[in-house]
This record gives sequence, structure tokens and C-alpha cells, in this order.
Amino acid sequence: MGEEREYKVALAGSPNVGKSTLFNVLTGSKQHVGNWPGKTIERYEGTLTHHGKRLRVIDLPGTYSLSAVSDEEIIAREFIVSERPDVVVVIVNALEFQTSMYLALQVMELTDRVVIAVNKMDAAAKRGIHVRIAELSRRLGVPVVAISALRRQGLHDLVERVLDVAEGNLVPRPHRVSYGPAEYYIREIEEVIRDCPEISRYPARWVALRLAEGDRDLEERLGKACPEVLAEIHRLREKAEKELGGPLDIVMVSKRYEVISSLYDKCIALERIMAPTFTETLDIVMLHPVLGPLTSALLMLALLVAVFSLNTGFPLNVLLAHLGLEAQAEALEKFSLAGLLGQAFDRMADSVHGVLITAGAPEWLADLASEGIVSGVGSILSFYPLILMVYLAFGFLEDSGLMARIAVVMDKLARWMGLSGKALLPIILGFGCNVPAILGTRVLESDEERKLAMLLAPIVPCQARLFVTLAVVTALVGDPFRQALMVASVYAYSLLLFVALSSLFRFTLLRGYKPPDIIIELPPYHKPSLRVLAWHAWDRSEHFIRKASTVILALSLVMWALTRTGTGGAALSLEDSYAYLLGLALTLLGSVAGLGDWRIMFAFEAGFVAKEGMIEALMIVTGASNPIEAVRSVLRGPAEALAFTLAAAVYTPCVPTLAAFYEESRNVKLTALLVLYELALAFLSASIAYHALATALRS
Amino acid sequence: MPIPLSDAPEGVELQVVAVNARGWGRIRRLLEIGLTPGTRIRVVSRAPGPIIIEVRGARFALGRGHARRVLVEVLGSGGGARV
Repeated sequence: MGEEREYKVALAGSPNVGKSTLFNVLTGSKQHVGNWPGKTIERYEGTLTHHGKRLRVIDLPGTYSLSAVSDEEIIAREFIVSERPDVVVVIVNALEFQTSMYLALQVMELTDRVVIAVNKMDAAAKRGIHVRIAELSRRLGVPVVAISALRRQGLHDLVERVLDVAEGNLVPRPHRVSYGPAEYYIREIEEVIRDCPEISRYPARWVALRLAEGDRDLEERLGKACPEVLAEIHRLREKAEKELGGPLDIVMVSKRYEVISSLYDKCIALERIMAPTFTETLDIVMLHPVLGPLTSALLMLALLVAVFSLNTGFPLNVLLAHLGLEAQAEALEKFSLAGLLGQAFDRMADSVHGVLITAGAPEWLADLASEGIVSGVGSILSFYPLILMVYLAFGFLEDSGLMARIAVVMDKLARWMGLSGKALLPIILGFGCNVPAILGTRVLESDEERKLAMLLAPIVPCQARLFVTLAVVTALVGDPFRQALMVASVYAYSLLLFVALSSLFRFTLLRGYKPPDIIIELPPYHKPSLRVLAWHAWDRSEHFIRKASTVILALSLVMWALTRTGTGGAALSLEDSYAYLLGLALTLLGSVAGLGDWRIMFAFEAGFVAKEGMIEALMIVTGASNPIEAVRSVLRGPAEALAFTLAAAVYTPCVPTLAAFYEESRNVKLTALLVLYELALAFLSASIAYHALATALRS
Repeated sequence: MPIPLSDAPEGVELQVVAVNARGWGRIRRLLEIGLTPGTRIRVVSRAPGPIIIEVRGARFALGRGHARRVLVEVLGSGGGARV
């Protein structure tokens, strides 16, 4: 046991095979997340020690194949070629044996050092599916282990086989697919590429296979380094197509599936005739043309209400209050996550201030530390629970298999808005918080669709914008029915803008773009593991906070400086500060929309950091002790109220959203476009609404 | 008579005749999810929007544009035939 060697193990598998679960149970808490070089795709890495031997486990992106169609596929295969892992574990799904086996065959063409883990054996057994593991291993020529990652079965065995291969005690001899009549051309291509050193680091047979099928990435590189070789390959492919009566890629993919079919026939036994499964039964509802969209909408609404209520108490508190449970409603609000965090940071800011003053620090320093830094950190952390819960709730939809159905039944509706069904999840996340919405657009395969979805996502009113609307409505509208109507119309207006903007962008920025056709796997439904859900949610939100916190904190400090300093140095009151001057300048714009009050403009400045901050800013400038009073003292008539509400619902996304947008797009122009279009829209909407309503009320 | 998958009836057993997979990218996916010539498949649902198929024991939703590229032949009314 004396030697300290670390083995590098890569996990490969299609989406929905349980790869994340396996990675999580193997590495436990010893893991960290980063990004693949130059990409926004997460890279997970963790370690595990088995009988004194260390394994470093790298979770490759989930892919159905290694054909370089997507970035994920390029990352996965580049890793296998360049970083030469000691073992590649390919996870195959016992429930969807054939489709998930395809990747395994491709990996076995790239490297010998393969161990196959057949996952979900427990669920398969329940459905009467029996996998003959030994026979499978014999036919494939590599070790095969039966596991259930969820129930942690077979893991010991898996790690032992991995070590056997890593240490050379077991040398896999992967079965090579023989491509029949295509073999002649594959060998010709193998000869031709000898002349191009650019791609010599890849296994020659593999490169030949890939080029015979057609491979975007390799061909691009060949085109640059050895164009004459590429021309020769194109010539060979055309010849093959003529002589074989069909394109080489069809011949080759078919051959692989022939091998898979015969593996299936020989290695999978169905013990009994299956009754309709749970999946089939539930799918009758979920995929129904009417019930499907209805159930989907209700499901997402329920999740959003649950997340909202946990975060701020609304809307459950209103419901409780209506039922006469005032005390419970108040408790819910007080003990909501945002409430608890807010109280904690207020108290912390107070005590930091107190401690510094007692220690003899000057007032401005104590103020900077308490209001600038502690509150700045507070504002970062105050939206953390929301992001976390949004990820948890929607992670549940994704992992359970429900989200795939929702994307499918909503596809038609989404296309009408210029997106595919896949874009719906991130867009709906936006009702909770725009940050996960923007990060969530990563699932979209087409760059153009992603661009469109990212530009549109911030127009979806997040919970913080809802919070502002509610404050105004509660303060100025008495009748509960009209309150609800007003809130609903803000959402309706945002939806209208969403659709109109989508068309506008498609006619200008993204001319010629069409929402891509979907290919979505509908995996069998299953109960997600809470542990994996929590891990993923925690990890994604933490990853973002770490990256964005510098920007958010910096801008919070700028806001602090704006309110605390002015042309005369330190500002004794708000009226001496730069924030006041800026607010005053902005009233030029605001007055067009009936909002020519610097205090209102100041609220909009604060809302740039976080939309929740708008109402708090109003309370500070008006000296009001509660939101209702603050709103009443600056917004006098219904026309002003409407203008303010619409502007707040539409204008510039908050700093965290901008940070996310920039992180993901890495495009300053696009980020500027987002800010400008929302500002312009807010200004126009507010102005038109103000004048229309004011005129209507006068007559 | 081969027909496009987008026009195929629900519930009956079908056989893939050809896939028009020319060009890169997402069309290749059709082959790679197992829609190779000769494969037996079934349309689970053809409500408006994407159509749902069962291929090699897995379920996939295909956009109409993709479904038009897959030519199939009706093998018979399997009546819940499993593929």
C-alpha cells in the first residue's frame, strides 16, 4: 500500500442514465466544480479513496454520442484523447439499454481502457428486465458491472474493476465493430490521413471512422492544416456513397445499432410480459393535447407559489390572512427565508457599526463597514435562497422526467414565441429569479436560440419585481379584486412585451432564425434523489455567487458612495449627495411619465442593485416607517402609480442578472443592448400609460 | 408505400425505411437515437406539436420537421405491439 498513485477516472454517459448520481455517491463531499476551458459547461471533479488507492473522478458532460455535434461531445472526446484517463467508465441505462449503449460503443472505439456500468438494475429488475452481465462482458470484451447508483449497489465491485484496469491487472480488449462494406473506405481514409500530422495524436482508426461518417470538428482542423487530405476524404466519401447506395454515416450508424440489437437479444431477458408501466400511464395525461399543457402549467404554478411562499411568505400569507389566520400569516412572513436573512443582516450591520464606533473609528468608516459592506453582502445573500430554491424545485422537475414532458407539450406554444419547448424551462425559472433563467439557457443547443432566450428572459417579471408591484397595489388600491387585477395585468403586459420583442429581435438581430426542431428524450419517470437535487442546486447557485459576487459587491459600494458623498465631500444628508444630483437629472426623463420627483428616481437607482431595494429606498427618502406610507407619499394619483409600476416591472435588470448575462454571453454589446432596450421600453411604457390614464381620468 | 413519420398513424408498428440525414448537426441525431433503416418503431402520440415515438425501448419527442425526414412503412396494426 506504500505507493501513492492517483488514478484518473472519467465518467461518460448519456443524459438520464444516472451519471450525476453515480458521481455524487462515488465522490461524496470531496468534489469541486469548475468550467471546461473556454466553455460555460461545468466540469465536476472529485476524489475517492479505496483501500488506500486514490481515484480522481472527472464527470464528463452527458452526451448521446461523440460525433462533435455539440460542445459537450467535443469536450468529452478531447478529454479522453488529451488527458488520457486511466479508465473511462461508461454508464449504460438498463431501462434504455440500446440507446445508451451507443455511446459505449463509440467510447470503445476511442480507447481500450473502458469499464461499463449498467445502472438502474433495481428498477429494471422490478420491471422484469434481466441483464446477463457476464455474457455482455464477454461479448464486449470489457469489464461490465451491474449497479444501482441510487441504492448504492454494486459500487464496490465497480471500483474494484476500475482499479483492475487502472493497474493493468485486467486488460480490456474491446470488441471492434466491423463496418462490412464500409471497411474498405475506412481503411483508405486511414491511409490518407497518415499525411497529416495535425491529427496524429488521435488513434488513427478512430479518426478514420469519424471522417468516414463526417465530423465537423476534425474536418475544420483538417481543412486548415491539410486541405488536400480533406479533399481526398470528400472524394472517397462520394465514391463510397455511389458504390454502397447510401451515405457512409447511415451505413456506419446502422452497423453499430446492429451490434447493439444483437447484444440486446443475447444479453437482455424479459422475464414476463410487462403491464403498462407507470411511465406509460402518466404519459397518457402528461402528453394529452389538452390535459398535458394544463397539468404542466398547474405544476409549474404550484412550484413557483411554494418557492415564493418559502422565500417571502407571499402569496400564502395573503391566503392565510383571508382565511382569518392573521397570526399565521404574519409568522410565515417573519420566518420566511428573506425575512430571516434581512433581520440577521440588519442586526449585524447595527452591531458592526456599534463596535467600530466604540473602538474609536470615525463615523464614515463605521458607516462604510456596516451600510456599504455588511449590507452589500446582505444584498448578495438575500437573493441566494431564492436562486437555490428555484434550482431545487426545477431540478426536481428535470430529474423526475416531468420537465421533458412539459417541454414537449409546450413546444407548440413556445414556437409561437420564437423559441423551442426546451427554452421554456429557463424562461419560467425567470418568474422566480432572472439569474437562474439566464444560466438555464445553457441547455439550448442552438447559439441563436440561446441568444434570443437570454435577451428575452429578463423581461419576465421576477419575484422582486412582483414585490414592488404588490407594494404599490397594496398602498393605493383598496379593493382586493382590483388589486389582483392590477397584478395580473402587469404579468399580461410583460407577456405581451415578451412576444412583441421576440418578433422584433427575429426581424432584426436574428434575421433568418427559426426555432430549432426538438429531439427530446422522454426518460422513464423516477423519484429523484434528494441528495443529488440538493447537491446540484447548491452547487449551481454557489458557483454563480462566487463568480458574480465581486461585481455585485462593487456596485453595492458604488451605490453607498453615491448616497454618502457629494460635490461638497461627505454628504451630511441625502440632499447633498451625488445620488440626489443623479436623481434630479433623471427627473428630466421621469417627468415625461409623471414621475418627476427625485425621490422616485432615487428608488430606481436603488432598484438597479436589487429590485427589492426600490421600496426600501423610498422608505429612506420619505422617512416613512412602512412601505405603504412611503408609496403613498410619493405616488399621488392612479396615473403615477401605473407609470411607476410598469416602469419598475420592465426597466433595466438588476446587477446580478446583468452579471449573469455578461458571464454567459461574454458580449459587451449584447449586454448593453439588454440594458438599453429595457430602459427604453420602461420609459415608453410608463410615459404612454401615464398620459393615457391621466387623459382618461380628466375627461 | 413509404410515408413520412410525420404522417404515420398512432399505435401501429412501423419500420424505418430511410432517413434523410444529409448535412451535419441535429439530423445526425435521428440516426444516433436509433432511427436506422430497418428499425421497428411506434408512434405513441401524434397530438399537435412534436410527435412521440418509441424506438428501441426508449421514448423520444421529435419536432415535425425532423419527423418529415424519416420515411417509414406501416407493418400492421400491432395494437400495442412492443418495439
